[in-house]
Amino acid sequence: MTKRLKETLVGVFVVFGVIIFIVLYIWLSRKMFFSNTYDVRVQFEDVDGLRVGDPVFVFGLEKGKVKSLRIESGRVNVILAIDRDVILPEGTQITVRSLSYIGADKYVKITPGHGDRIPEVHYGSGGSFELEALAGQIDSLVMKFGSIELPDLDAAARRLSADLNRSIERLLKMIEGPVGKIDTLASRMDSLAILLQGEGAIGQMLRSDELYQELRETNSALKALIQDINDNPKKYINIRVF
Amino acid sequence: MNLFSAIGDFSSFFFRSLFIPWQLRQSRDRIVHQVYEVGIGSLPIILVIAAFAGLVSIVQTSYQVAGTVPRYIMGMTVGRMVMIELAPILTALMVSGRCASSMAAEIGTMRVTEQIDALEIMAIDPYRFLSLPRIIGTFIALPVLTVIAELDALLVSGAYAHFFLDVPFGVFNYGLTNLFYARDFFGGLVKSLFFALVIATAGCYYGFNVRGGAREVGRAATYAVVTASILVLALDFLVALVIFG
Repeated sequence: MTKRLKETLVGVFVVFGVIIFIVLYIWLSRKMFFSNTYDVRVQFEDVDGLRVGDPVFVFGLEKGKVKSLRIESGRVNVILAIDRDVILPEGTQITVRSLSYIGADKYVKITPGHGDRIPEVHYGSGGSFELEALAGQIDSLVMKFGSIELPDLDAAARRLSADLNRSIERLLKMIEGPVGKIDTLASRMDSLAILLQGEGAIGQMLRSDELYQELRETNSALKALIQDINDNPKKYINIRVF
Repeated sequence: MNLFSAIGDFSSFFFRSLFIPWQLRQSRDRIVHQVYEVGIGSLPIILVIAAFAGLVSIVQTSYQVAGTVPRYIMGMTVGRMVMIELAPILTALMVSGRCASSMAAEIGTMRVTEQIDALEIMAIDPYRFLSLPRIIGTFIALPVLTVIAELDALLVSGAYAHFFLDVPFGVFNYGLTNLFYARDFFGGLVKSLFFALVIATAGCYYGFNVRGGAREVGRAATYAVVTASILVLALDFLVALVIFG
């Protein structure tokens, strides 16, 4: 191999390595030399573990990244690199949230407002939704439920079933006598009903309008007679001693 | 030679090799030759081991986290594993095995055949003539090999996830890029720079210190690989402690 060829190969190798380095970095960091983003300044009381490079979601779409984090005068000053097609007017809500259940990886959630002007500094809220804390609480709840010793449900069900059977047997014995009497009563009631509905004297008496009228008339006549007796007792009662 | 004197001897050899008046015009050809030997010579084997490292990492990640976390986490996990550890370490260990031994054998042979003495007689600094080009050449070649190994491993693991694990490349790429931290990427490359220094220094050091014949040359090659591997792992811990700790 000639010296010239070796030098060329080495040069190609090194340049190739530098190109791969640049390509790999641009690919992984998604940073282009000609940035299509602009900086948005947000102040947080607490960023809850947010780091440089964490994604920014606007209406659930990824529209930027966290560019820098710095503590200034007791607050965390965060610079977000946001795509130029996103406008954040007054009233924009900016919060830090957790990306996943297990991870400490965070993201910035932005819900653009509807104000008329675009403020220089936005104010965000960190850790408004503590997913990890919630998950921890759920875990502890699950552990508490898991530690409860449940009784032997199968044995309890068997005992309950046996008790019920015994109670039902006693109940059946208790209602055996009354049931016979009720049967007798029912059969007598049936006989009575048949008697009342039948063609016998009682039935006819109950159903006859003529008899009813006669009874009324008799009653009226009887009242008139009693009245007359009261008015003229001598007419009917003639007592002679001698 | 006890441990501390060995460390002192090794360190003084390193500083003596590097902190000498550089005559790049004279050393240029030898540096180019070393970049060729270490870089281009190791490229095929690095491509193979990086591909397998990527495959193993995606299979292991899938085995351990599939069904419990979102699938894009696989991209993040493999990306970080490859960038922080696998690519720099495996590349360094492979270059240790391949190049540190050859450097020790080459320089050791020159020592036992008194070529190094001849250089000194000709008023040529053997450190500048033999050590410096090897250290600089490895220093240039190893980060390049590491970057190539990272790209290779990430592409192979992404392709495997796409075709065999039902994780579309877009999902894999989402985890890889959304949870990317520049520190991981640059941290791995910084490691490779340190690894390059100790690999080349170990190879040259044991070559320079050969006393005897062919048997000692072989033994020096073995020592060079063993020492370089141990130093690579020890430095990996130290650098990780400083950068990621």
